Amino acid sequence: MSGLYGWIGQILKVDLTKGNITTLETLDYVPKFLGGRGLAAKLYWDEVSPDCTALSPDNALIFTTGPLNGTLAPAASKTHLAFKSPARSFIDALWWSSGGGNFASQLKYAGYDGVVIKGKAAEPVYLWIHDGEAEIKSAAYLWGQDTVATQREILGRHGDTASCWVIGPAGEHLCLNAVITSELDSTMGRGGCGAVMGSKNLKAIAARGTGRVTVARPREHLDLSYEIERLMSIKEQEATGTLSPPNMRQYRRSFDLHDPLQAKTTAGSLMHEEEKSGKVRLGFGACHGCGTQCRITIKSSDGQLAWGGVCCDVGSYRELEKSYYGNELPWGRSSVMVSDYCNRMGISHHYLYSGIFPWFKWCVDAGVLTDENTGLPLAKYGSTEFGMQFFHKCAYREGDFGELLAMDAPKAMLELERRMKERGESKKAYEVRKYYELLFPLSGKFAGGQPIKKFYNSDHILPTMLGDIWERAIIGVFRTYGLGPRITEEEKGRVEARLGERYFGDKNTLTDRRGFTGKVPLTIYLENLSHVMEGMVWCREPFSRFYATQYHTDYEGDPSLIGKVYSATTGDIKTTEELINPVGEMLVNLERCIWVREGRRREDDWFGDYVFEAHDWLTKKELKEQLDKYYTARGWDLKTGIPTRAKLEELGLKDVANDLEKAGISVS
Amino acid sequence: MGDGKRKTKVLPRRELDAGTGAVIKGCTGHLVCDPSICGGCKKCEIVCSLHHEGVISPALARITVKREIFDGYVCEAMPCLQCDGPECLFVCPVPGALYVDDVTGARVIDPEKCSGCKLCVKACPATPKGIRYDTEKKICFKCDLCGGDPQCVKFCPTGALAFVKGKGAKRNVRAIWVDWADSQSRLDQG
Repeated sequence: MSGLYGWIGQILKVDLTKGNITTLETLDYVPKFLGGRGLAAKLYWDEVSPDCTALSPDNALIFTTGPLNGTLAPAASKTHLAFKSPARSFIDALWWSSGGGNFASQLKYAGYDGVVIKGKAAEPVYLWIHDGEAEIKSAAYLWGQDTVATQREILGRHGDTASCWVIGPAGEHLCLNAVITSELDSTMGRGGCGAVMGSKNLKAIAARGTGRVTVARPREHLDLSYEIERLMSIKEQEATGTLSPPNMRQYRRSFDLHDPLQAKTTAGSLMHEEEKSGKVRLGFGACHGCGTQCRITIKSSDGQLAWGGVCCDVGSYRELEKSYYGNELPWGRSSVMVSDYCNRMGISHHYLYSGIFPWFKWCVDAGVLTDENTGLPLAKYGSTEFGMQFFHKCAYREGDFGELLAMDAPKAMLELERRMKERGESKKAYEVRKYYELLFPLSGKFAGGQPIKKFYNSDHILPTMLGDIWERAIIGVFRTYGLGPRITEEEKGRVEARLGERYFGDKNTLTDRRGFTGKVPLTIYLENLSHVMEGMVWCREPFSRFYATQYHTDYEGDPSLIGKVYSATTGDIKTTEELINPVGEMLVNLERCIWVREGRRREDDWFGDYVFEAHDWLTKKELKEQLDKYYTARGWDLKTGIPTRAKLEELGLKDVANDLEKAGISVS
Repeated sequence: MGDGKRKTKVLPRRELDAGTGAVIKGCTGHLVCDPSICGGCKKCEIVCSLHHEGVISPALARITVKREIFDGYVCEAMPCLQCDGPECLFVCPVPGALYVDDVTGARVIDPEKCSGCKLCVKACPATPKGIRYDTEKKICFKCDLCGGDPQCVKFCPTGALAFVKGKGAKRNVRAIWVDWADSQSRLDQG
């Protein structure tokens, strides 16, 4: 069937209020909007009004796959989700997340390329999708259960090859840091999407299929997949002696106690010793079609089970645990147990590391939070007991402090600031505000969003300001992310200089950390590339292998593989350059228009005053110049930050330009 | 059957082809998966169906991956055992539809001759079954070792899957999943 390579052809559209299910034709959207994030953005444009609030029935959960999901292309295992997020500081706006596991493949084998969910069910329900059918089923016996128990129940009912996305108690109680989880630690962790799902009375979506995905040129698809896999595969890593993160087998095979990266990423040091003595058993897991195997389970001889992975890992609580227990606790037991509990509750693991715990500790040290007003034993901060109580309070919104935690960090900090001011404690209020701005540097309506741990690299500035902080992960593409800990800083610098020269004509682009050299073209390239990646839907793991690799520093990378495998799979012939621009360029503009429609303007592309105070290498004058350059390069109006009509029409978004005009937004 | 009591069939050990009386050649080697390395990525299933059928569908793969999650990852790819005494071959009613490959020794189904009766599926003692039924083509299919260059081994990113020459290895790997005496009684249950 021409036109359907890589795709099945139908997208489910579910109205939970009315209880009915219809379909959309995938080919009405692709290949123009690529798939994954781009497809979801177009569906969001069509389905989600700028007036609706995030926790109202009119919001949509838009789950999409890409043309590579379910195929042999390595690491194309993620499901993308677009939704209006309730978790920013001031207004509800578009956000997205993605998660791995097996769901994207199972959804395709079950006969669908995506699921758009609107409305709100009268009672708790779950969606069950299987071989061309979709049903809304009662979740009466699932509601209230944690993420693991829910999945056990669903897999018990529908077979263990089924895959699901579920919420835990945090999502049910509309906590703004609630996540949507699959398996053990695949999560859609950003933007409080778990709360959106809970607001719809939707406990889970599950899929299982025996169908098929066809590819345009099977032989080529097979050969290219093999070539890409070789860049990532554990076999190759072991053969070249470069086994390193994110592959978890390093903890068994080539563990280095002195390696700071390994010691930090999980409680590896203690786990390794415990495994050697037989007290724990490690298990290694992978997402569908990915050989990176970045998931790990830790089972103790007394039956305690916990898990970790690269993104949402056990290391989040490790530093706190060390502050309380030192190195005495067996196998990092506290951090694994607390992380385990956090995951079961369905709370964002990543944010707790970079969002909740830092501000919480700061507030405790500043005397803003006490035993009385938190209801927590602060003296036991870092203990297992403390961690469990903390997450229980949050997930169940217990007491005033539980309500505060459930607001998630941005809103909670602003609330604290407000309370300080009300009590006349203006100095403390200012301190809270400063700390907030360092974690969430955007000023204006679009503030909030993913916290940043350290504002240390200027190549983060523009992506931080203009898009989702996730762009920072893409910087790992050039940041020799894949090069393991055995590579020296000097060698890394040489690789970065070579990559800067090759892609941006300036060897300082990547190495100049505190300046703006080449940062506008770098930002544009990375933003466009992220749309390509998240359109497929590819995990970020292969991307560092297209541009650099961990095997040897001489490797130049071969990004042409991206376009080649896309073309061989879909039959839509495009080079990597064409995917990045105009396709990626168009998708950046589409998302920008969504935000513009939700109220974003140039004044929102800026940082709070304290951010400039705190970083003497960042001046307002220079940032303004960079922003002007960026807007010009993008074809956006310098005063408003709105994409010009000429640009939108050039990119095939004339309808979007017309819709903006109809909404009273002038497109110059 | 017969007197109404449930009978357990114990089949005689057979190494001879019932038709010709010749000794059935053992397979030259076996696919072996190391569960301590396997992460359940299922690339073996994907590449198998793509290689054999030209489409991607785990339901059409000649290999099945068991993947347990919630009590700790336990993953293992479960290929056809290429049994010494292949029950599938013994029960196949169509001459030549299931045969032993001259070069590899693999037990192979000829798709041109297979009638889709599924007696081989019923006879297969392994869990999960080494033979499956294609509901579209209405014939059975099984692992043929890709003529000697098994693609699943090639594509396995971790090295968990290997093709091991000789007899010894397969028994150890599958011993925990296939209890020979127990599996005989399953023939009654189909």
